[in-house]
Amino acid sequence: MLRKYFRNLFIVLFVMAGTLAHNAYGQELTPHLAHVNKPVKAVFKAPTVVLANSVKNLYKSTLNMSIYHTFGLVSSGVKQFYGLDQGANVRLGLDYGITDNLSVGLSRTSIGKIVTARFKYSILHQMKDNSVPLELAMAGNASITTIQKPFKGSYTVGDRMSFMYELMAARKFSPKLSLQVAPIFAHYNRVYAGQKNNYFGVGLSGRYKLTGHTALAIEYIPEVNKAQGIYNTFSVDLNLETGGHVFQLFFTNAQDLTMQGMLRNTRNNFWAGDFRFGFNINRIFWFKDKPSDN
Amino acid sequence: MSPGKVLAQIYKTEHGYAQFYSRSTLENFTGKSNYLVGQVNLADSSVSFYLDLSTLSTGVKLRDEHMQEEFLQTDKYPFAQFYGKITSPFNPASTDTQHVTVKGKFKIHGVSRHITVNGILKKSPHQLFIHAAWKLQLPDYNIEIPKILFMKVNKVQAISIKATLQEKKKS
Repeated sequence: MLRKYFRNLFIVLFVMAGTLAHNAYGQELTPHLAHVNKPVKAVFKAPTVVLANSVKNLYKSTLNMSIYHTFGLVSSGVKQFYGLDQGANVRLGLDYGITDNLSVGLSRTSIGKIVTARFKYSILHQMKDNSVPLELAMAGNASITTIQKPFKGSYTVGDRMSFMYELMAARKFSPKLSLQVAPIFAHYNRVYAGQKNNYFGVGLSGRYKLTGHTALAIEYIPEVNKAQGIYNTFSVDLNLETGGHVFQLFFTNAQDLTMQGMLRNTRNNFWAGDFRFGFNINRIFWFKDKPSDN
Repeated sequence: MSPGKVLAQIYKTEHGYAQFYSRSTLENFTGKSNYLVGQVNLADSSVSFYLDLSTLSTGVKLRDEHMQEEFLQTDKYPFAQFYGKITSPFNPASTDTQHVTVKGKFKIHGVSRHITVNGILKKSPHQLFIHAAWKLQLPDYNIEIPKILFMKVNKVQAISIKATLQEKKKS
């Protein structure tokens, strides 16, 4: 056994020595990666894994125009054409990269007539040589509902506000697989009787690249101490990624398209078959073309 | 021929310059890298170059990301490689600028093809300057023609390389 091992080792060393000697005399070079330490590219491809934020930020001077659209429950059956007839929610958004690490955005969501201002800041970038093994980012938003008057009596601007804060840690484990963990905290200034003001959840998500242009993504957001009748958000999605576009086609049990709403208001149980179809369109433009040396 | 004499005819660099020039319907752009690695052996006429494609930069990070992730697929195919021989007559001792023809195998995106490249070389004490240019057809290498936003990139890419190689010392 041991003899066989040494014999094999000897053969390997012999072949290696032969290869080295061969190269030393001016034949074909064996390629090696350049020792340039750069951030790992495309840990995630879209600013959201499915509906919740990903660590992906916008590069400086790029604009992302996005449309998120979910329909009604597929389980509503043929009468509602599997959810396409009713229950739609549409979010229109614009986000802009101020620097390579900071982006800001405005969006409007139809259900709840919510206007949201958001930011995302990249704290660390995962580096090729693993000197930084993680991508770390934080995000936050302030949202205001513009519906007429859900409450009797006084309803101030402050009452209409809600907030979301999030820290995201992600790693691209291989060219195909990226995973993310993200604690999320949300606060509503005013809620209905019996509802909580504060919400806490942990986003667990991942992306698996299938081909050069397609990827599978999954997003699960278990919520701590959730109220009765509220379910954890689960979404499964197919990304179509081409230059300048990311299309996301998914099934989700979330109806609210703000992250605080996903924690507070997901009233369908994915595992009982109550999910809806939705799609996101991300269209990214860039504005400057400054030639630069490496 | 003694080994010493052979070694003196080998020139090497790890910081050559490579670029591609791309025409498209909206704007033309250039991808550049200063990490071209190459070796030329004037004794046996062999020429070997490779480039880590992730070092190519077009000046727009988003475009670089699309190019590397989706079109060149650098995770899967990290290098462009060339290995060939100088097939035209040349004088290895001359310090004049010499026009040469190099034939060999070029490999990118997992596809190898035989190509012929014309270039120049010029020897100076302990150095060899080389410059070459050729046209690459993206479909020849199964590289999808990138459609980025409204613009469409031309299927022909003009490649050029430029490098000053240092004489390899006896080790």
